[in-house]
Amino acid sequence: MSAAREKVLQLLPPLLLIVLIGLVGTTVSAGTKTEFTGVLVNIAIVIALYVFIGNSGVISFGQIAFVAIGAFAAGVMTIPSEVKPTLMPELFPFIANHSISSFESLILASLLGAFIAFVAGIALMRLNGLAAGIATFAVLEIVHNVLRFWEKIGPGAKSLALIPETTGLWEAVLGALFCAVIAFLYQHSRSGRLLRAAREDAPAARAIGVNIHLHRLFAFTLSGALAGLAGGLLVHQIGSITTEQVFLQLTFITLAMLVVGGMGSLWGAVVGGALVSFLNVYLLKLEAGASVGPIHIDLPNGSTLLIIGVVMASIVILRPQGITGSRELSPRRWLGRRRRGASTSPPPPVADAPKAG
Amino acid sequence: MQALSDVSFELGRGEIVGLIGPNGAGKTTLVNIMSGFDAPDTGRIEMEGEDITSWKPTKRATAGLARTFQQGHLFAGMNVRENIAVAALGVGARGRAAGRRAAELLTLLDLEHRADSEARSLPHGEASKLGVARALATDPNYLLMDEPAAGLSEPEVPPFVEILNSLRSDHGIGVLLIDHNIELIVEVCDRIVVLDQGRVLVAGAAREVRDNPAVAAAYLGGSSVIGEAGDA
Repeated sequence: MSAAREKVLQLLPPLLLIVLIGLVGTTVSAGTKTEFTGVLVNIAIVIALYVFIGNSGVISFGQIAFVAIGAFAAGVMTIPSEVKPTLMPELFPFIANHSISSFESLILASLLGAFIAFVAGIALMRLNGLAAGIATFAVLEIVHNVLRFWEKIGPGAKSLALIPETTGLWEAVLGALFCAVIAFLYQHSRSGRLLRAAREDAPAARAIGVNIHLHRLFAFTLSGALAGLAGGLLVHQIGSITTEQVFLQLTFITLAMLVVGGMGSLWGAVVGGALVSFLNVYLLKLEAGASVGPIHIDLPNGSTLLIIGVVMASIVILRPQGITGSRELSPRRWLGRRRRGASTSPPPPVADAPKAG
Repeated sequence: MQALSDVSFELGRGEIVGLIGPNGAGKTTLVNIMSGFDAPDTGRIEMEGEDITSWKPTKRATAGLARTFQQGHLFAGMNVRENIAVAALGVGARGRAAGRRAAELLTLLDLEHRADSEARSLPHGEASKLGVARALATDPNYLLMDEPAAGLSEPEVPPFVEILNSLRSDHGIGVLLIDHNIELIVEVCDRIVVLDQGRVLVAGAAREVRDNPAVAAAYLGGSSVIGEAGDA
């Protein structure tokens, strides 16, 4: 099997999992179907995070800022222009007087997310480690406060309502599939491979000619575009939004998804996104009081984030590479291992260490 | 603290220059300065007549100046083939050409059997060879090698010497070779520069330097190996 075919096969598991969630979502009640749609939108967001964090190895607390930009841009621009003056009287005229379709709003959300990420990234992408984390968190704060207090571009602190609810289950499937394919293409592109080299060892990457700043900036911009798109999908799913819904809690929970799945692989992003999203959904139900078989469970308020926090911390301590080991699921390797059995695992590297001269 | 002072020498295309000296003499610092990882306070570095002192490592690499590292600095989570292929990509090769280059170098460095292994799993000798393969993937005119033979077993040294000779004669690459194995240095180098406390103690033809009483007294001490560990 050629290396190229092997790589393409690695794309199948993430795509199949997304489609599977969509298919199962068609068999459940309308209320649960909405939850499945939310899971798929979350997967799209986590993939957006993965494109930058996973490939660069640089932690960012700021990607949800681009989700927020996408969500508010798509929301504000798809509300019928005749009701905008009532909902948002301070809007700039060019925003107040124009409305676009949901599909067009997704393109707008992507472009705006990419543009703001590019501008922020020019300065931020020179940073590493803790400095990068803090600076990207500052981006989140800045965007949050601009959206919250600048009423010429949105509803400010009020809820943005009357947004067309056009993200159904299959729209969410398509959105997540699109994000997964773009992420896959990027990680196998020249830029993606060089950025992953820099993630492994920055000095060695510079020694082979890698302009780390340039490739980080590209990944940050692409991540901003996908985050903006995911924000657009989100806002068209829930129909109304406040700035608080795309701020700290979403930052925490989506980072938990990436960490739990394994931040070094697309498969990890999709698995983590799915698992923690479903965990979140069902823990919230238990917080509201629900029966599991004969047992009635009524978790205290706040238990959901507490439990997800414990899961995230446990993964970081016990399995830092996440439950997928930050590896793509290779169908060939998986099938081969099943055929060979566990007894023929590769020998430890020390087996062919050279003898002392 | 001044690591290097009044160090001046030339490395031509198609020659191998050995750089030896005790631990802390400034050998790795010199490689870092030549490759752009450290900046000198004074002085300058020229390549092909052009002053490259202010160039970043990235620009030097793409202009044909490659280096290896004393220890580690592999792309540990990537497999051996990808370690080499990304180096070709780094200096502008396209995907297929990078793949072909990786295949050639896997053969040249006898790493084919390790092509799909993660770099972090390699024993020391093969890790050193991968470092060399990766530097060669950038298609350099000049190659700075910081203890590339460290960890090679005795039978692995002659093929490695052949590779060094081939770099000089077949590919016209200028090689600066740091190693503690004086027999290796004398065998392959055209000239040797001896560093001592950041200064050039002796420089000249390989056998002359080796037979220099001052060098012998200071560093050889009757042994064929200078020092026992890398620079701090």
